[in-house]
Amino acid sequence: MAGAPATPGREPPPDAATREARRAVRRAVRRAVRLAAELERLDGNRLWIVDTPRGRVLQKLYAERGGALRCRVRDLLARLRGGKSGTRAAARRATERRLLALWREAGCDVPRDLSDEHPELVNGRTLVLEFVEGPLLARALREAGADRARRDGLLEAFAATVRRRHDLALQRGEAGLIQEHGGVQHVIVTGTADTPRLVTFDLESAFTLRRDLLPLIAKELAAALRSLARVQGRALDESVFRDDLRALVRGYGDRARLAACAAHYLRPRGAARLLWAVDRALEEREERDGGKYEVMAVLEEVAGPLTPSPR
Amino acid sequence: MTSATAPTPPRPVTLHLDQLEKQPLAGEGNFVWKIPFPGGHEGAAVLKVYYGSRGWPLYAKKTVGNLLLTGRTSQMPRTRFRNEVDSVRLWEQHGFRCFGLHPEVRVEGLPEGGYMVFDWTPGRHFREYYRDAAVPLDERLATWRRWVPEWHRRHALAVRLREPRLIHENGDVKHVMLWQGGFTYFDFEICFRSRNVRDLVGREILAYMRSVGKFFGEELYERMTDVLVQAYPDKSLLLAAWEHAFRNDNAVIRAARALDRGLKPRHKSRWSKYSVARDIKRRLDAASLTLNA
Repeated sequence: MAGAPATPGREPPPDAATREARRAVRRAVRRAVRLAAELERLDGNRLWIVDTPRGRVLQKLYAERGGALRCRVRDLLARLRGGKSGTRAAARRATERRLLALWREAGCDVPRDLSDEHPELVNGRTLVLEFVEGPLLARALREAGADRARRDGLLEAFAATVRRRHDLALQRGEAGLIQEHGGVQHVIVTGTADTPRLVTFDLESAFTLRRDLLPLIAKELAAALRSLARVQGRALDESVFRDDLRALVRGYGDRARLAACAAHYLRPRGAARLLWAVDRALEEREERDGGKYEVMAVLEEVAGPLTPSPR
Repeated sequence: MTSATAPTPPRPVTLHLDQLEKQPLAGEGNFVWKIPFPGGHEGAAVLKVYYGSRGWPLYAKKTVGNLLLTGRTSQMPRTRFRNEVDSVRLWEQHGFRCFGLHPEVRVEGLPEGGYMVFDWTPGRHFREYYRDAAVPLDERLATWRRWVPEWHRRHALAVRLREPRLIHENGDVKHVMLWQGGFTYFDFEICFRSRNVRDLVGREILAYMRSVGKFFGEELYERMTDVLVQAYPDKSLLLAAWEHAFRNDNAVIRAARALDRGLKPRHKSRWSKYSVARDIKRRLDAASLTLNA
């Protein structure tokens, strides 16, 4: 076996097993240090299942993300850039409460806000939500594996609910009906296998009023497709992903809108182009499968290129 | 036609201190005796005298500390008497059973407003009950599981009413008793004065759980803390225990606590409030769906 010759007077370099053991110890120490530090911080939301005399509910605690300075800077930047609701804990709580009522009124399936029914669990930092039992869509897809019929069923149902919501958003000019933080990891699959009920959650961040909603729909789609790509893990199986997208396009129905969104996302116009170029360059530098530009390019291929209007 | 009749007030009774057969009970600072009392449970009652064994300089010193530093009520005997009587009435009004009061009993030889006769309550203190190996562990944990929601109800009420007197200032497993299948509370001489009741709830939770650790040992503490996190309905209020130790709203107090943690060696002990606060937070994090998706 070839190896580095031992220098006289020095210890021979450790073998692979020793190096691996040392790395494992270092990882364990780093993890222990990180966990110890986390016990002295409250970073991000908490969501607890609570059994009450009136059934099982979820108590959601909205906590700040990052330290005192970081969360303020993030909020300031979000406000300066515009277009999105506040990122502080109180703002996220208020947004979620507003959107749950808005979506429900529009007939979209979201957890019920049970805060008024459970005043004992509500305070200025919490909401009480309906507990919806079922796996996340991301997990259901992972479990479906290569079962094409099951995957198609889930994805078509998902796309149909998204389409209906987008139609409503466009009809009403309501940006709140477009999910800012969308994706297959924010949908719970419940109901029966034949008639799955898809419940969308995580509405604590919202797009604010805009005249043109198509770019926002494009953003939601990009986020959803990226999350779908991530269901497969690091190595994206392009043929499976394309089949998934075909199912999504069928379920969504409006190919022209999907193509327009993809075109907008991939080839923006006006001042947005500079930001777009920077963002795209950064994403390509990461060289990760399933980036948002990559998935939108696949969507454009699957949905068909946008045909110019006969006019 | 029926008419509601007010309960008849008990007839005044006068006892003579020098003629009473007094059996000393546990008590620090006060004189607490078990005395014969016709009509009481087991023919007995408890006489608590707030003018106890401490001298005036110590009362004065503790009062200054309570009023100026720790946000508690005065240590002076009459104030402690008033607090105890008011707190017992308040707690009972909200359905929390306390030792029954006998204000109709006058004891010759003691200063008015400086003593009270309580029901003799022959229950079992949590401290003894949980250490009793003759009681099956599952039964002890079931009792704890039954008690935790009652504990939460009091905390929730205190927060809603912004009522610091509903917080057990000297709360620990020594001051809760299991009796007739329910729970009985005692020792309310001192109260907090702050209206930041949420923080006081956190403080009380830590005090109880520290005493669980100290009196019952590591193994039972772990089990009882697990049950606490499962059975306490309002997890965000339970998190107030951790927030009391690590995330006070007031930046000055937060900084003082950080110094306190760093400088005092006793805070590194297993049953320090900081250690118990971390234990509760660790469990709440583990129970959170957002951290375990």
